[in-house]
Amino acid sequence: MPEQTLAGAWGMAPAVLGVVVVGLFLGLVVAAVDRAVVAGAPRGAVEPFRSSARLLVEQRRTTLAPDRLLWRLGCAAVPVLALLSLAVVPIGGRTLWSTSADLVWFNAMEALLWAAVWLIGWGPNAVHALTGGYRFLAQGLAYELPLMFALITAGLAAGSLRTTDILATQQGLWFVVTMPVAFVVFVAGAAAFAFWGPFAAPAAPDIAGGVTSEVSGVDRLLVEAGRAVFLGATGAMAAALFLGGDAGPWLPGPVWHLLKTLAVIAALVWLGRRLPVLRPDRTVEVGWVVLVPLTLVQALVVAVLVLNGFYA
Amino acid sequence: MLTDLSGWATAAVVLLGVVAVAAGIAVFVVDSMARATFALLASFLAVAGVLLAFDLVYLAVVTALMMTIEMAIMAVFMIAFMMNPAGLMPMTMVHNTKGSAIVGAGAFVVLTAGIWTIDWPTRSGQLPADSTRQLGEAIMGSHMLVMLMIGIALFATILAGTVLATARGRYDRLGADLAAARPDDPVPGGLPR
Amino acid sequence: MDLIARLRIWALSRPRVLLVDVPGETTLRWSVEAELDRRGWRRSLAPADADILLVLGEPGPELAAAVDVLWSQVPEPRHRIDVHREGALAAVLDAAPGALLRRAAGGAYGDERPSPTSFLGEDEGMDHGGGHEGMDHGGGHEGMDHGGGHEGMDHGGGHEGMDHGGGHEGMDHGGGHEGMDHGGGHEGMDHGGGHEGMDHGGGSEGMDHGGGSEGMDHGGGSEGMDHGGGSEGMDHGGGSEGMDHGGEVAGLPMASTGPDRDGLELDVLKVALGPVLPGWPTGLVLRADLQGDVLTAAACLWLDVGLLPPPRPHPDARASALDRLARFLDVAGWPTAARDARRARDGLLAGTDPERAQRLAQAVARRVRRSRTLSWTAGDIGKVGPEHGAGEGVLDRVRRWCDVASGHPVDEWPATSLDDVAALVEGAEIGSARLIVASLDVVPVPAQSAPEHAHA
Repeated sequence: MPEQTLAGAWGMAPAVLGVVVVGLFLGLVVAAVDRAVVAGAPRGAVEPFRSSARLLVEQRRTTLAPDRLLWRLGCAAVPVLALLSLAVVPIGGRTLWSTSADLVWFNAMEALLWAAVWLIGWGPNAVHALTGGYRFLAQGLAYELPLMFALITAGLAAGSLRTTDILATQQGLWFVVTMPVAFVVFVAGAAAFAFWGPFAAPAAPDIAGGVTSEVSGVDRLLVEAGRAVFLGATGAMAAALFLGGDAGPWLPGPVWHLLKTLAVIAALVWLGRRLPVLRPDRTVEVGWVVLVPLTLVQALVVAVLVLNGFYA
Repeated sequence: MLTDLSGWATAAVVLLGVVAVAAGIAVFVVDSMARATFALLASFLAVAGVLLAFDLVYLAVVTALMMTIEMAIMAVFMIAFMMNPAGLMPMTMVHNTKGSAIVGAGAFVVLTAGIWTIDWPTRSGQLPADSTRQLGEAIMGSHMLVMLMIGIALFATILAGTVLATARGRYDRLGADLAAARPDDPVPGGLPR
Repeated sequence: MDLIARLRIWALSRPRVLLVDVPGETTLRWSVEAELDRRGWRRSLAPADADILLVLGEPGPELAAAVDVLWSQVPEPRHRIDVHREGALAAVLDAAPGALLRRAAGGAYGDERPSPTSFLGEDEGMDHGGGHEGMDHGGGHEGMDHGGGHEGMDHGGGHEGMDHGGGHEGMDHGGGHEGMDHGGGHEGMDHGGGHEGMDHGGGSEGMDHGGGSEGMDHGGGSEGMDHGGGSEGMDHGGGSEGMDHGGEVAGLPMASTGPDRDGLELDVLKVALGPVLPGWPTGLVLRADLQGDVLTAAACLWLDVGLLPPPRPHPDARASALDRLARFLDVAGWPTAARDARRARDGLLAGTDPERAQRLAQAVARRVRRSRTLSWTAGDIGKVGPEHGAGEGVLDRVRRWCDVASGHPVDEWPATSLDDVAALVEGAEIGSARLIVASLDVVPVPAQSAPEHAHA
């Protein structure tokens, strides 16, 4: 175990607290950038705070004949999973805990998100919410494999599933150079998992907000915050896996990582908001027929490079 | 075996084991599709937690990953045919209650008896530094052929199942002489084909 | 304490607004939207996300009933505003955060909110008018309040309470039902009345929290109302043929299975989209059967058919086209383009800087027209038959608006009748159906008796 974890360095409780703070910060950045882009005015920065406060004042509502247990469980799970996925994202060069299967952990949190979002759609006993839940699953199925292959490609080059090892391997050359497809698929897949921007079909206006159409008050806050934190965590993970993480001249490593994360987030939001929501019956086919082979070829290319000792 | 583990890990294993069994029982007790599915998922997640307590991170995480996806898909298929959102219509989750209870109890007894009667081998050598790598080498090394065959067999099963379940074939899509320029689908996909 | 009060003032200073524009109040809606944009107040997609219900104009009785249901679904603190003319707008909006604040500060919200089940009672009479379907069952919901015990059931292993028989009086929520569901008995579906799950969301939750602190919604019930949240009948297919007539779930009747597009027997959920949805012509109700997310057996009607104003197109065709475009883009989930279209519309109407508005209008029209993503995602749907034109689809209609918006002359095109709308959405996925309706020029015209949808 070459690296020390955050938990090892700071103690468990402060490390967890630190990760939560970082997660919330990233989530707020995502929400603020998103709001500014959508509103077309830079004043959006405080709006996420205001919306959060508003939702805390607001009443939680219920519906006729909901499955309340599962509904609330789903709402609470979204931010928890987002923060758990952040546990294997390096912060200042260290992860909260380091396992020998970090990448699979990250992926598993996203898979658990399927269950959570589907529950949010299912719980309120309403058509639009349920439709949103189904859309999310269809979308998730189509993106899961390409996303997995994209993650695995980074692990393949580093010869390890540990994010800190992947960081270490990139000190010479950022992975994005040799695996651009994996990078793009990872970022797009993550936007799909946060059902945001062009992949927001599960919460789209055409179904009155879909999975979010029936949640209010603190439930809505949890879901929206979870989505934003997921996107933020993805930005940080993309910066770590493909953009060299904290590698960079002059500035200290963590600052580089933060800058790269913010750049990924800004680019993602700016690009994503230039597009309409993509209908799932269109994107799903692309996911299966185009992205799966494409990411497999990408993995093959990287595997050949590994065999030639390119990354060594 | 358990003596190798720390006190915390032992406690976690016991607790999660109880949770896994309880959630498994709940599958047969609750009366809605969604709750049964997610009770089963909770049971699997508890098992993943047990694996995590054994420090088998890869196996634990993969269990959680696979089972979550599986359960989510199962929920869709079960509920697609019963479109009662929230599924408050109570229903039994078991058929042939007596038979399944007997089989279940029998399997439980056999397995439990097996666990306590088998003379488990003791560990020889040191714990590997990286159990994930060791697992990968075991699977992809000496058992590569087996894994390949299993993979292909599973994939073939999925394809065959889909083909059998699909009512529409290529003649429906492309015409009797397969000459249509664009297939006749109820909903066109995202690709021009 | 002071800090909390200030925080609350700050939090509620930009409330979210659910707009209901009574048919014929288009220009009023435009000025309201412009005003909301100016204030940075966002419009909500659904009542769950709203603080303020803003009703523009004087709704007819059926739409008023629908608005009441919507209002019952808005979570506290909430404020309802009825605006009839433009002049009063700024003043009432200025007053709105204060009103919200008073409600929020009031703590326990007065429980004037009707129980969601009470809306179930209004249906029979309304059904033909198109009001709330799904809300049938005569007023008897006495039995529906079953104090706190109910909550417990909800979590405990997931049994909902149950009921026998169609009448609601008899909902025994006592312990008795426990036996029913496990007790193997539950092929019980043959009780004719079935056991419905009676977790009456709203009612019981409010009680548990004393002050009635939960909003209620009829996700299940009030179909027509909000977001089609509802379902006239929900059904559990498998083997429940027998229950279709007497069976109910939480006061909602059961539907039955039906053959679907792919040759399967899928359950049929009766839904009504409208009359209030984002980017939807307010007052239009689309009733259909939903299988998965595919709409079949669609039929459209206008609420308050007799009271609809005669259609009078706005003199400024470009502003109208931009508004159409903005509403379509809202539905298509393209908020930045919709925002620009709206700004261009408001700029054209204000007339202070026509050059700039013109440029903005042309820019947004060009952007939409050239968007490959939009043509990919919205292409190939909503094609009208050859008898109405040359197979024109959603995209062609949107592009025609783009032409109008950027000032190019286009040919007149015939208004779409409700039957055409119904025919177009038949067999469409729910999202496609929304795009189709948003792309059509559906104007309220007094319709002859709308066909009741027959259901297999």
